[in-house]
This record gives sequence, C-alpha cells and structure tokens, in this order.
Amino acid sequence: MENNIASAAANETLKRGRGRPSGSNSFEHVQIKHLLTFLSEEASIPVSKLWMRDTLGVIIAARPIQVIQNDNAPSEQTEEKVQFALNTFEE
Amino acid sequence: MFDNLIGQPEIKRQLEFYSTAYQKTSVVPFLLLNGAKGLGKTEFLKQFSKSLTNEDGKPRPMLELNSSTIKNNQMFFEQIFMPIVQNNEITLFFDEAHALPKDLVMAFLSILNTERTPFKEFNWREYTFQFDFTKISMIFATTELDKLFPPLKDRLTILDFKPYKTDEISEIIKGRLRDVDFEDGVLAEIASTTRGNARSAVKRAKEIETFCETQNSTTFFKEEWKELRQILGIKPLGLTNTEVQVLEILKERGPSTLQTIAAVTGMSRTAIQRDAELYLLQRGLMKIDGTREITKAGMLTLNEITEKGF
Repeated sequence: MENNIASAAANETLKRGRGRPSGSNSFEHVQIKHLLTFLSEEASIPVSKLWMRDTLGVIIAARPIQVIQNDNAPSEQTEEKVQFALNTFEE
Repeated sequence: MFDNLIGQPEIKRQLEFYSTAYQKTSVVPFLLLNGAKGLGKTEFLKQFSKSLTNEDGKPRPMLELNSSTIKNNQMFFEQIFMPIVQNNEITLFFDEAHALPKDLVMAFLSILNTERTPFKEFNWREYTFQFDFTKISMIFATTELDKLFPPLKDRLTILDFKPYKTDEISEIIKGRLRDVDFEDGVLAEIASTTRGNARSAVKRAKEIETFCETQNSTTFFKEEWKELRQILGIKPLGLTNTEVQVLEILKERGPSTLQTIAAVTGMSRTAIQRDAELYLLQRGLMKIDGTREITKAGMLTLNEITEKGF
C-alpha cells in the first residue's frame, strides 16, 4: 500500500513540468488596431486552427506537407571567388 | 637576376641555383618561402618566375593566389586550375599557404608526391587533372610556418627569409630617394625604425619624399628627421604604441604577469604575446623569467621616448 502511494507520488512529481500545463497557452490577446500599426492589411499572420474553428467556424482540412525549395538561398560557392593576380612580365 | 633587389643573399643564391637547374631539368622544386610580412617574398619570387623561360621563349607568368580565399577543392579546380593553369606554362604562387583548406592540402599531398617523374594525375569527382611539373611550378609562402600541415611541409623545400640589416635598409631607402642628400648617420637612424622590414623601408622612403616635396628641399638632415618623427610619431626602434604601453606598465608596476598586462591594456593574452611582446623580447627591451620584466635597454628606450616626446 505504502509502495503504491510512494509510486503514485513519484509519478505525480515526474508529471510536473511535462508539456503544457492545463489551461495555459503561448498566445496573447492583441487588438487588431494595435497589430495594424506594425503590419499592413495585406500582411499574413498565423492564427491557431482552434481559434478559427471556435471563433469563425472554419475547419481547415489537413494538407500533405510540401517541401519548398528556396531558390534564392545562396549556394555554397555562388558568391565566393578566389582572389588572385596574374603577373605576365610582358614589357 | 636580382640586381634590383637588396639583401637576402642566401635566398638569392638558392633561387639562382634553382633557376640555373631549371634550364637543364625544366623542373623547379616545390618551394616554401618562409618569413615575416614585408621581407620581400613576393618580389623575389616574381623575379625568379621571370627568369624561368617557357617553350615560347617568354618569361613564365606567375599567378599569385591568396590562399585564404580558396575554401575547398572545387573553388581551386573550377576557378583556377581548369580556366588558367591547365595546358599553360605558369608559376602558381600560394601566398599565406597556412590558410589553405584541409581538403586541398590533402590533394596536394598526393599531387606533390613526384619522386620518380615530374608528372602526376589527380582524380577529382568525374575529372582527371594532369599536373606536368615541367610546365607548372608550384611555390608556397607563409608567415606562420608552424600552422602548415607537417606532411605538406615535408614535401616542400624551405627558404627562410631573414630581417634586413641596417645597411641594407639604408640602401633600400637611398635607392628610392636618389635625388635626396642625407646627412651622415641619418640613414642609419631612419633604418633603425623600420624593424628590419623592407616594406616599412619603402614606406618610410615615401614619407621622406613627401616631406622633402612639401619643404621644397633635397636635403634631409638630422633636424628634418627629428621634425618628421615628431609629425608622424615615429618612435625609437619603430616601436608601436602598444609596445610602449607594455613597457610603461612594466616600468610602473614592476615584474608583472601576462594576465595583469592583459587586464590593464584590455587586450587578449594572445594579442599581447603576438603584437607586443615578440618584438620587445627580440630587441631585449623586456624579459620573461616567470614574470614579465623591463630590462635596462627597455628603461633607456622608454626614457628616450618620454624625454623627446615621441
């Protein structure tokens, strides 16, 4: 019996600090007018799917993950040039 | 071959020997020029390469590469070897060779392994490169020999450049200022501030030329030298402000640790060792005996700086 209690207590201790505590989240409430002082109306901002579902009633279907190739990313050698000087000794 | 270059008699003899041998063998050994900055490594090598005659009778061109800008084999083979070196007769000069990337050093270990014939094939990716050392001379230079990969060093013939003597420096300065008359002893005084460095001597000659032009004068006496020193802050023995600062710390605090000097100057220990202590030790202005200490010569030099207000 005592062992069970100790084990339960140990589990309880271990469970603390795992993941997100119930009721907490990483979001903050901000008024749209304040956001617009930083962003244009065309800006794209991430919102949670839960918020969309609960507030707007919109359900987004899961999509397959797309791998996007960034063509603008500098490749290893595109910009690098070896510095050299050629002396031909021609009079 | 080196008529227009002053000093480095040993280097001249060695390079002349290799140049003469080239006329018979068509091959130059893989040389490594070792020495501090400003001792004339590049200038001597240019003259040497010029003395090597190609099949068309023209002097062999020299491609001077900044090794630190070669990041890998790909950059070397694609930007240098394929477009410029391949099928040409040329001297390849790798300046600051201690900064070569590791994979190119490894490639060179294989390429420079030419004990039997002066030809070597090197495979890289889908290519096979031909290194014909009767057409390609490969020469390296470094200011930091200890940083060069030892197996690469073993494959190279090392030529050590030495600091210039006072009379050689005087000759370099006088050679640049043929129209200027120097008072006896002034050239030796000027030479003592160039730290045995040919490049500094050329720079000093330029400063004197500018001074004489502004004064509309073709004479340079002790008075003029004193004035120029005051204007440019040229200290005895060509000491830098950091070196003077270290001497001052040692004078004020007595024997000190490297840590103390670092703390007072705000410089790193390595920077102090490399940029200040090395020359002070060479000139006997300080000594290290457990702690750092200023010597008598150091005290005299410091007093001269204080008295003359340099």
